[in-house]
Amino acid sequence: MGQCLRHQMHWEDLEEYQALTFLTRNEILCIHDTFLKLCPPGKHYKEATLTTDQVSSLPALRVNPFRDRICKVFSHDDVFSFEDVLGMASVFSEQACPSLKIEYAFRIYDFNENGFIDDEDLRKVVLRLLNSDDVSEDLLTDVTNHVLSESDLDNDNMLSFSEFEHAMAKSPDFMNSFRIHFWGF
Amino acid sequence: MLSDDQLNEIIVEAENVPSWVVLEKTPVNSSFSMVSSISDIDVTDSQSFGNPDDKKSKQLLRFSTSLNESFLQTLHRSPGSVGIDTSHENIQGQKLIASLIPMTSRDRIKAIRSQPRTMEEKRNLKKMVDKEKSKQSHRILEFNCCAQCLNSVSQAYRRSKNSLSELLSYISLWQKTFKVIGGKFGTSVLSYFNFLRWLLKFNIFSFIVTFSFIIIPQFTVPEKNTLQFTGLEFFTGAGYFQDTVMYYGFYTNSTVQHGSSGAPYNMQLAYIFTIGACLIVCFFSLLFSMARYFRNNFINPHIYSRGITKLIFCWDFTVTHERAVKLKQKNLSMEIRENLSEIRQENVKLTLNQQLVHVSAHLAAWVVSTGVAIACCVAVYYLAENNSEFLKNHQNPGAVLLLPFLVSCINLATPRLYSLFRLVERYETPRREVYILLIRNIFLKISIIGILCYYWLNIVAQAGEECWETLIGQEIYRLLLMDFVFSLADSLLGEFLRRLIGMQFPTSLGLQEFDIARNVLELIYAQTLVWIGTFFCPLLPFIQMITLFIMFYVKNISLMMNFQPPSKAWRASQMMTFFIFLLFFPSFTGVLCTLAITIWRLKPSADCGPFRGLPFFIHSIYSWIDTLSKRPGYLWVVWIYQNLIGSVHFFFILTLIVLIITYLYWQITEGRKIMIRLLHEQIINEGKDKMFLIEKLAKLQDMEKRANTSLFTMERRDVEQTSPLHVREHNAAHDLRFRRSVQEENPKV
Repeated sequence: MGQCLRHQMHWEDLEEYQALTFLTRNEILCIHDTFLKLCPPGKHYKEATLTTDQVSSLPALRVNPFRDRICKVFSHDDVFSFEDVLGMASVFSEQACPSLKIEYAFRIYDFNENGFIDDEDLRKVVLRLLNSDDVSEDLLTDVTNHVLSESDLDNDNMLSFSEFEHAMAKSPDFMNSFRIHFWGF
Repeated sequence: MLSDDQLNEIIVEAENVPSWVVLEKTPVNSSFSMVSSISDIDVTDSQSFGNPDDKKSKQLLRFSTSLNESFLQTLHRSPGSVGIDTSHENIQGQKLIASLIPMTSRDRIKAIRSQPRTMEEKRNLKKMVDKEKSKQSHRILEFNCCAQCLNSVSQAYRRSKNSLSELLSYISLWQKTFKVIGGKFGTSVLSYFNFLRWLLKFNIFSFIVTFSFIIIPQFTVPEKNTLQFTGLEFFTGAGYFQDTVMYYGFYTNSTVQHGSSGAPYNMQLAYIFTIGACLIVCFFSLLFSMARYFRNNFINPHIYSRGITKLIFCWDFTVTHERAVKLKQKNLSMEIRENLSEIRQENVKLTLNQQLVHVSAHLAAWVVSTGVAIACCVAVYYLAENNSEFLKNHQNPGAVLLLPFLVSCINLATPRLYSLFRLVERYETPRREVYILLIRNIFLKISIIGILCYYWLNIVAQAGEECWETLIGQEIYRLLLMDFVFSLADSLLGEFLRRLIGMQFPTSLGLQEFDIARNVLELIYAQTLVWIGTFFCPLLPFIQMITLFIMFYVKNISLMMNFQPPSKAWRASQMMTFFIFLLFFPSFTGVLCTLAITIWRLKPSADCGPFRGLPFFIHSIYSWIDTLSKRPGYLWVVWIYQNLIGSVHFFFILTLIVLIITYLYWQITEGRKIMIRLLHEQIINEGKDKMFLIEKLAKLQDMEKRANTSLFTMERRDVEQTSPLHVREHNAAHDLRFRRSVQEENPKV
């Protein structure tokens, strides 16, 4: 992690990024390094952008079943600036606070972006997780019904943010699994 | 519930303009520039999830093409483009700034960091808060000096703490390896290696303390070692090693003093206080870790049901190997199906016959496992008792290894025997199966250690041999070493062979999976031995340090070569809580009992060690208190000893207070459980109210719609042509409403 030496970042910028994100100095520098490698040469890192395809093909995200949702949630106008990448790494870092992780997990799982994780979102999530061709309708319906019966507190057939937060607070493994290391590769 | 108004707004807007977006305003800018001015847009920000009262007062907002100097302008990425003026957003922003100003700067930084906003928004937020704060602080002049001083001191402290923690994480052991293991095998296998590293920290600490306070002073007064060195000492621990700092017997009981002006160093007190300090630090460290894990992992167990939600939403994002991900997906699919079939089976009632069969199978398994454990203990005790005669008859110095060899064989074979019970017994949940297996294994291991301690303390210590402490130390050393050798052989040979066999017959066995429970129990067993043995053999933490180090690399290599990722979801944090509890409860408390019996009841050997000649070990403390009571400056220590530590009344009152506090907390917990149940019912009732109101509203709007049909269809055609974004939202909103009315017909309670 300490091998990222090629940095042209100003000291004040580094301090500011450290204050605004949950990343350590080394992590920020390593991400800066990776960003510079991918973006077109000659551009200053603050103006360069990466496409979602470039970010999706990072080793950390390449095989993630939700990489397109992650890119959609964290990018602006379908491109990633350096600060977008930092924001993404900050949410997925080890030191991030649980509320931040839960917030972004909710956005990632909300496929149709209507503010709720409803039946069709759940189906899409399950299909992504299983990623096979022989998933029967019955299984999908069964699974979504069970998820809703466990976590839907007000019986409106959808998970609002509070219900999702409540469900994730009960599973302590969520904090440990919702992590991605974007550096050191 | 905040979704009330949101749903209301969807339904109302479905008639006019069907678009509202929940994410940040910025990506919507370009598409909304095409929307006609008659459309009303409801823009909600993720922050609004926490402020329902704002939404109640909000009207449908007008779309504006002009920017103003509001808070909102600064939050946009491209201020040149069209912005959205929402008075609601302004109110919210002001509220946020107002809440951030009174915080201390550290809390403010933390609060800003945990905002789910983009970097630029956070930066602007920070600037605004700093501006407001500086405006306010201009009026407060009195505290300037002191506050600034304190500020700079705390800032310097924080910066040094930051750099120290970064340095620590930089030299933190095995960071990269952990990432690789986590990437390939997931967090469950990683928890074993984490546990290993945590135990290593204990041993490093114990080693540093004993080295500085006992071993180094002993080096300054060396005695001559007249024994021969042969290579066998590494295995038997006897011979040359007997007269080194390794064992208790070598330590002097005198007061070390260098020169006439040097400070006197009482080896007796140093020995007992050092071991005591190590154990106390371990005790508190274990207690705090256990409490932390308990607090995080046991929230509302009665609501926590099957856990399918957890399977769906807690996908392990740390896994980055393609093959591992595919395997995980396959395993997840299997596990979901198994869980669902278990749930279906749960509702199937078993007949009396089947229940009887199950109960008798459980009973038989418990009887057999307890019987096996007791048989092993008896065998070990019998061998230990007859060991001394056996040794006299066989002059081979390697013969002392027979007892450790037997113990290690028992530890190797019996857990695998217990795993076979799985074929006969049927458990309701796989979690219960894992717990029962763990309980049986830990019972076996603790009883073996227990029987050995009984033998050592009752027979060896009172047999009248010279230097019995050194003998016990040697025994523990041999046990540890044999355990280490067996683990190495198991990892290097056993797992390797298993992989070769598995590859020959690919259909039947396949690659094996890492048995986390068994490996963690082995670590706990070794650590228990180390804690007991530190009193008799102060170099034992050092030996265990080296052992753990080597085991890490061996297990890592074996893992990479011979294993496949685990197929079942392993509830890592719950398991870790249980392991730490096991480490604390039978293991550490057993160690404390053993050492307490040693120190209070046993007579030290007369010729060797720092406590030679005393009637009991504890008399060293008594004589120290006696010498202190003669010095006027230290009478407070004597007072504390006599009235707090040595007095029964104090402990009685303390116990009473602790029991009362425990009872009060228990009652509070019960009250909270009832509260949770009531609140849950309230949520369900509010949900029903909401659906009723939505249905009513839908009916009213239907009537209105029929009245304005023609006007509506024209408007709708207009709006639909302008942006593709609208259509999707419109359909989604319509679906939502349709689902509402369907649900009203089939109420789900």
